[in-house]
Amino acid sequence: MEHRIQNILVVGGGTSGWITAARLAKKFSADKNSQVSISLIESPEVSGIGVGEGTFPTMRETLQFLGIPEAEFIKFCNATFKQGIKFVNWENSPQGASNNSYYHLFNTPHSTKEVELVDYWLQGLGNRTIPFSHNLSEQAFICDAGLAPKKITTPEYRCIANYAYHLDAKKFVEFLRDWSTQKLGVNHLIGHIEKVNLDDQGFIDSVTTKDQNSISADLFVDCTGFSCLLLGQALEVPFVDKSDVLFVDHAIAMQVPYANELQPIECCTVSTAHEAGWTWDIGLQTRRGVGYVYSSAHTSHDRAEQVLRQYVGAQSENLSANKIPMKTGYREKFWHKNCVAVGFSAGFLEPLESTALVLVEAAATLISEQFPHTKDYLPIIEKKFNQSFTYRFERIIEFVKLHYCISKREDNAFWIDNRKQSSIPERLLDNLEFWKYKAPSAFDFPSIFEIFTLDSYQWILYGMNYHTDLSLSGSQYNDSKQANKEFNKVKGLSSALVNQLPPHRELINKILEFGLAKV
Amino acid sequence: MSSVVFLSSHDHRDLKLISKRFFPHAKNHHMCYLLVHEFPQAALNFPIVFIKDEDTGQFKPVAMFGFKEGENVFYEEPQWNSTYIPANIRRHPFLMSPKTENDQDWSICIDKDSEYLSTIDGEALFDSEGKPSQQLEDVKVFLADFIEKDHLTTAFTKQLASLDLFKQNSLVITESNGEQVKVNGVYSIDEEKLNDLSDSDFLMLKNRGFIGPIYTHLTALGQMERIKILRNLK
Repeated sequence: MEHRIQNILVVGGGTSGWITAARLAKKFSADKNSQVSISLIESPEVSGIGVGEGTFPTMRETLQFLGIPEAEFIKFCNATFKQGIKFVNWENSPQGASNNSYYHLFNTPHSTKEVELVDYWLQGLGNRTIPFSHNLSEQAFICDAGLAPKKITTPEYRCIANYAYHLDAKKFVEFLRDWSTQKLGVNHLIGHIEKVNLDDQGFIDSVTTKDQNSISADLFVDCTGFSCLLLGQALEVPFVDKSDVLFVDHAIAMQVPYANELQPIECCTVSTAHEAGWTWDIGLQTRRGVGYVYSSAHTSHDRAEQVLRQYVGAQSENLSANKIPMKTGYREKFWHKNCVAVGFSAGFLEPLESTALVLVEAAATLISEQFPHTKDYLPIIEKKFNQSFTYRFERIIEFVKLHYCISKREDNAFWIDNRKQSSIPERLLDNLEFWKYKAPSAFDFPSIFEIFTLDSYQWILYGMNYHTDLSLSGSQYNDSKQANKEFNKVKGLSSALVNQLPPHRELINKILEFGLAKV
Repeated sequence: MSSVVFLSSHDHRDLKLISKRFFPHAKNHHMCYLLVHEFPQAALNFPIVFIKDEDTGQFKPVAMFGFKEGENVFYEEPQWNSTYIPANIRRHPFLMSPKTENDQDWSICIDKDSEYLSTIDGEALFDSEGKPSQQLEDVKVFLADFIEKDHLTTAFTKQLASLDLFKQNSLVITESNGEQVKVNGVYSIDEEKLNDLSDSDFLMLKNRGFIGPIYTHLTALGQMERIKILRNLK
């Protein structure tokens, strides 16, 4: 008789564990005939990492899919709106007190079927007295002005400018746990796993907890973070180290309260480049989360803390800093036999583009959409899953590396080493060479598994003034009249929206008081 | 511009309310806030729909007089051509406002530049000793009643929103030049969602007295046709 896959055990009660459990439970609760049950086991002895407070716009779809009212989530999780990332001093070192910056916005650069406006920018069109981002999207002006991406009358999850969230990671875990157990029927177990029991074919049969409870399941989801208890330790799937491409290996973080409750909330994650890494600065409702990610081969831990404290300023004096070691890379396989790793157990990349949660969302979606209902399907989904996630990790590593290798900073070996050819993945090298004479296009991003597509590359490349010479393909771009019209459209939309949208904090306060309508 | 101040027997002792008021101040209003208690009378004249308050995003019922700003097909100089005028128009030039921001104590305000106030014609608001006239006492009763019904109206729309009963109305009108224009920001109750309510939710609506206004609103949507006809006559 065929062996049905009906009992799923998610191991680990962090963000990855709860997102995966919730997504699976929601998927199967819609099907009345489903016999699949979802349990999550959480160790009372392990605490979450608790950083990772930035998300991707996909989080809106995830929360909506789970049936969560957006205003409830915002209230509980201290959440704010994130409209992109502001990169400060990434292109060049600061000149005295003068910073240089650019945006990676969540809106795509303005374009129409007829004119790819970015390419006309590369031809020298547009208003050259303002930056690339401000020519290509009204969102740049919205962020400059500190405005919200929507109005109080905009329905929940809908936007005027595309957005994701900044959130309190610990609160988010609590919120997901309550929602999963109370609304979606996830069975919540507490126990510290001491032993993983394999059958004679090398499949996981059960796990044994410290108090000698044995829990068996048909499918195990390893959300145990860096320890990778099931896939790494029990099934011995090796880790592929990528620290030769991405050098940062430590983070030091602190929580900084606002000076007062009227202080404006930033609209973007602010990522500022420093001598041996970069700082993140994330504005929640009641505090900021700030941290420095650095390469210990290029600086000392003491110096790193000094850089962080200098960045925060006088306010940092009474605040404690929390040091977190990181290991860049991913598993050789993510799915092996009847075990799949989701979250940091699958791999870890520096938080530069908030890729941690988007990978969790993608994994949870893939597992639930392509769910192997019988044991016979396991080898097939194993292959599919591994291909797609290896592809995703490789592409994300290239995209993160792009930020470093087109920088012109010379102030520290960290930046110079980052531009060494030997540290740059071949495909990225090829693309960079190609884009010297060709505009990036959809052809360069052929897979449905791409997380960063054309628009993200355009924001980074031309935000950092990467030089693309289109003189050889000039004849392709002969509609400059239409292009100028489109540049003017962005300009018109910018001034209209800057007058209509409320300040970020004002909208958050209104949502806390009145909520958001569903329609 | 209106200039709203607290009514005082000292500053406004000489003020009179003119007796025949046809409410021309609203002649260019294309919609007006409606209390849920007014639905039956309003429905005989106007479409009743819901819009979102710009400041809070909360739904509120309105009577529609036209399809775009400045358009009111129900006013024909010198008066309203309808069997009913909503209380929110009739209350002019008076309104209630809390004395301070967190005050429970509400006081009467006036729009002191209103065309309905005079120092020569009409009925006095205060007698010679500064005591409120019968006229003003009646206004007080009217406003107190308005506030109470306003609270109930808020409770009504909140209840409908929490049951997710609203839908965006797709209203397209044809201009005199033949151009088709979409009217945005208008919401109505979704009959399908209403019919899908659980028995217990429906019973709860009945017990709160909300079933009547819900169906009155749905019926009054048919008055959109009346606006279309009246616009064409203009």
